[in-house]
Amino acid sequence: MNWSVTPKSLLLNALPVAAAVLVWWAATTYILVQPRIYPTPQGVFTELVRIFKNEGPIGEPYTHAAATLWRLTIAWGGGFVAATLLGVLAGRKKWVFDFFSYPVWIAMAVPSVVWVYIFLVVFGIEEMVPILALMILLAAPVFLGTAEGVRSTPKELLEMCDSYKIGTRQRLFHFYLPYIAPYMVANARVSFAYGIRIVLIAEVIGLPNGVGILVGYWSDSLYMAPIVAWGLLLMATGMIVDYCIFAPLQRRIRREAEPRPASKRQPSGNSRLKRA
Amino acid sequence: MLEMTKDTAAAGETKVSLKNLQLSFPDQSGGVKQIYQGLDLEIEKGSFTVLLGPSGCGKSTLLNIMDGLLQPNSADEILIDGEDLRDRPDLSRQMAYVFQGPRLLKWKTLAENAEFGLRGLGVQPRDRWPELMERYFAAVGLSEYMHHYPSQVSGGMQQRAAIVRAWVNEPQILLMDEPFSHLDEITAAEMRRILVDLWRAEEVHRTVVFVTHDISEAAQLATDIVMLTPAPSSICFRRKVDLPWPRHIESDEVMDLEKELRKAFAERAGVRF
Repeated sequence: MNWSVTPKSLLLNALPVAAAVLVWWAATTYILVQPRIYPTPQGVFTELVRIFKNEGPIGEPYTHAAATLWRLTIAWGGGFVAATLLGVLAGRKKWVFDFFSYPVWIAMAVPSVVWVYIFLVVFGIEEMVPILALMILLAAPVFLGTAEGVRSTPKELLEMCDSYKIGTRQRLFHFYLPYIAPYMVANARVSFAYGIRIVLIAEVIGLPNGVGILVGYWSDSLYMAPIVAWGLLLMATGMIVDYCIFAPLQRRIRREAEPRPASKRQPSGNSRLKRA
Repeated sequence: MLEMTKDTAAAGETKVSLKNLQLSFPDQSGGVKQIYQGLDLEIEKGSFTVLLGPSGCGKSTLLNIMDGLLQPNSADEILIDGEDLRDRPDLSRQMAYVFQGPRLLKWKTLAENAEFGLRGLGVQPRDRWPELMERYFAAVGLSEYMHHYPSQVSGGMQQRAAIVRAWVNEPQILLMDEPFSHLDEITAAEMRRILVDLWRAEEVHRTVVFVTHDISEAAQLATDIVMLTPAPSSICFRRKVDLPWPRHIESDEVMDLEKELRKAFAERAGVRF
């Protein structure tokens, strides 16, 4: 199956979005004519321009956006790395998997807003709150996905590693991580998108800055256009990260797994031998 | 890491010695399947020993025991060069394994797969690695493909790369578990020729332990044939082979040897072909 990005696939991606904007415009112009509560596309666009001009009612939007992105990056990065390493261990050792299975289940089952309140009570209004909440919530599915990936490692390849006395470090970086790379990228895509939602919830509930504070402010003012504008910006951020980082990674992994004629691909890789 | 030295001993010296090997596995009906009940096996240094036997008789299991991948229930000795493998697990670093399938990592090029083995076994000095890889990839005719990924080459080429991954370590003992059984006959014949050429090319031969259930393959390759009975296995026939190379499958000598092996199989192992 051809998974490459073509003009046709881009058109197919854009078509439902264009249709949705059209429906939105028609509904807010002819049926739900209450611009404060049901903003038109033009009203949202005006708010987007204001955000890009760094104009806002409670501080500069850029500062708030930077605070949100910083929290998201730190928490997502930390949670992802920790959960991946633990997941590899859990995939290899049943007792580690058993040890973490209930905490992981609890982390996934309890709603994110409850976690945020729990951490607010424990830590107060601190940076630690959204970061910890996010780490716990993101780590859980990443841990499970990674552990399952490692558990599915073919016995034959493990036997080959044993036979060639492959050490822990080499096994982790040259065997397990490349083997579970498709799982990891899928985990990363889902958890990053999930993370944007959680960090906003934490900011709305109890933090002094961030996009969530702005969303809370406009929500209290019953003015929806800036909220939709921020929603679109966050969605765009998620899409850009996905399009520029995760999707190329996934394509590369898929390409390596698929048989292909030698002539269509130039040799690549980082073998020391090749450079020698 | 042990220094990888070539065999220097004269023919007749024992390289591997297994004594009173006992091994059983639980079977599906809840009972116990006895694989070995006091099996003894000696493998001569520098020989090309072929372990021949029916499926399920424990030929591959013997290789796994020699490589330290599997512990028997008990054994009086598992000696490599006179030292017990259970006391000196590092002795298994003198060995390299070629499996039934290539077992290459698909995200690494053929050269990187070979390097994976070199790094694992810790072959020193590292600056020899490029030269070793160039030499052995050339020996199997894969120089042009060493920077291709496994998915870019044929199954036969992948198996050749697997042989390079083993041979490039210059192991004292090469363990080969039906390495050509999944290949078509033309490719398998070519691979046998390459293997024998590699083995013969070196002044002092490495010890090869080759598992097969193919009598014709055994006749074409072996300097020493060990025939095993169905489990619980015992050695029912052993024969030195002193035929010249290249051995043609239709030559009188090879065909006579095959006949002799078939007869031994029928009479001593109770297996008919």
